[in-house]
Amino acid sequence: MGKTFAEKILAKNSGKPDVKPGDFLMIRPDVLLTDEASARVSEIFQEIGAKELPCPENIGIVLDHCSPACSQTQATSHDTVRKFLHNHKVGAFFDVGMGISHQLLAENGMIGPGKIVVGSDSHTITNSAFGAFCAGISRTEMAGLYATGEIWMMVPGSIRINFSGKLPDYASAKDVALCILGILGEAGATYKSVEYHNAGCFSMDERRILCNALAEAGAKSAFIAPDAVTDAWLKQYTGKADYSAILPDEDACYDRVIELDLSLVTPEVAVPHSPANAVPIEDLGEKIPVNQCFVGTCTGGRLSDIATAARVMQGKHVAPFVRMIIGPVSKNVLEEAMELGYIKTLLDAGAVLIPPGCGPCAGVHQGVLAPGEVCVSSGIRNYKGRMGSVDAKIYVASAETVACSALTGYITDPRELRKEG
Amino acid sequence: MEQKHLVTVWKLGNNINTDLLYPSKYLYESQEPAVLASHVLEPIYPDFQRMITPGDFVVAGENFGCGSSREQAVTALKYAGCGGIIAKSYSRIFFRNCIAHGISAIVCPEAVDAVEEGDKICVDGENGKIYVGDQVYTFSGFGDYVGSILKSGGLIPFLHKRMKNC
Repeated sequence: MGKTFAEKILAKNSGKPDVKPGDFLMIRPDVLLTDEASARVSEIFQEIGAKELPCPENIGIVLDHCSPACSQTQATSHDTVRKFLHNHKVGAFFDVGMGISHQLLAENGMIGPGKIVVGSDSHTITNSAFGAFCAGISRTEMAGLYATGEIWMMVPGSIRINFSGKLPDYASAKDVALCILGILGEAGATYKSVEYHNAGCFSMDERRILCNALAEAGAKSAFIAPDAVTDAWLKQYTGKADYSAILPDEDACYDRVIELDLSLVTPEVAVPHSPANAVPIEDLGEKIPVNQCFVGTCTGGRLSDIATAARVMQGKHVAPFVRMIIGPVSKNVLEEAMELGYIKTLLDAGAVLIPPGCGPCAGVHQGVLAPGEVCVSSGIRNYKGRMGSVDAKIYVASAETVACSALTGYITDPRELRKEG
Repeated sequence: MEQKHLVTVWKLGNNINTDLLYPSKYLYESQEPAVLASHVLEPIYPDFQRMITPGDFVVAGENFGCGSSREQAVTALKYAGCGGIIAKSYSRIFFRNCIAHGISAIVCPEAVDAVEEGDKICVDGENGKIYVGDQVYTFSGFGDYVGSILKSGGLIPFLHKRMKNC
């Protein structure tokens, strides 16, 4: 009987010849990813009585959620992190304004195929797109990892999703992801490793959307096999593509297999207040006016999302009384978007640029919502009160849907504007 | 039969996410226990901290604690006085946060179905039993390693002991 990706990679790391779902293992991850949680992580590290980091080169810290700080409490927390780093060298530290952790630790080559990555953020799963095992954990557990380098983990069962067909040009990877969340529901992948097969047609930007969204179905980790597309991205951004890929066996055993014909995917929107409330956009019924549109986050703030927004908004203008916020996922992406003219196009169209980082997604700053307001976002989380007032509503959709909505002032099917040319 | 220690049940539904348990807007502000306790479940139960008696249990449906990995979703419950949690199932990071903070995240779907908000129950963690009226429901333990973390009171005391013994 063949083995799934999760079974193989966890067996190898734990030193056991063979594992099955439900087995308890002690794992030594290759990469420890933390954000602002590193302030408390560093305090716990000291409370435990640890002095030295056993594997400092594995640690990546990124200040991305409050970037830059917008309160004294946040600033003090950042100060705690920097003071810790004066005394402890780590693999990578990215200060405010550099971008989101999941993007930066891929761009700097720390995360890559065949690695085990744990992070004190639920969207750590994003970089499973590189063929790495990437799982979110507790920040107290992260402190334990700083001190000992090891963590307990159960071997997950796996779900396999097979793609076929060709995605229509008016649909995007984000629409595919929302469609999958609609199929799985909020707990449909709980504790599972989700493997996407035949995903070769997707770019690295798109693969990361597909993996990122699975956090909202409870997935532990995901997988897309590294290939020439992965290699090209790695060479462009990290300078090299040296790795030992771990691949699932063709005869591996899955808890569930889902067949998805991409040619049937159409623009989707997840309606308040759950990412799994995905519906085809034409089923929304009435016109839904928007107050804020946001292209950003670790889900939908990459170069291709910004490029799409620029294409849609070229020569046009944001509707009256609507904010269109652009949050590039990293400084590299911002610089590329500037060189390609996308940022100028978007600014000319009335968009607002925020520093690379999580932006308003977590309701901290840079676009908080008032009671009664509606936001359509290329992020993934639309929980009640997430971006500010509990009386605001968040819809999540593709970057194209967001950009179209910014022009019209209500949630707009991209096919409507494509018809108009 | 010896007197059992009864606690009141606060019943929540399915898919209670961590933004409901502890809203994002407070996440990067004061981490004082009293502040955390004051905001727990605010979007759906604005006065939860005042309503709960220390030791009361939260009883929830499927996928409790889904969404963001914030550990304040657990610590806010703890500081508000929540004595423990029984759910049909948990989101995995929330479960890990419970263990890390010494909270037994009990899985017992039958007990969840059997109780209503305000019911009095007795939870015998040592022997894996939940008493609801004259019914008894059993739940599984956590395994040796995770059980040791819980017995130590959480990951910090567990690792502190290990560091001292090294």
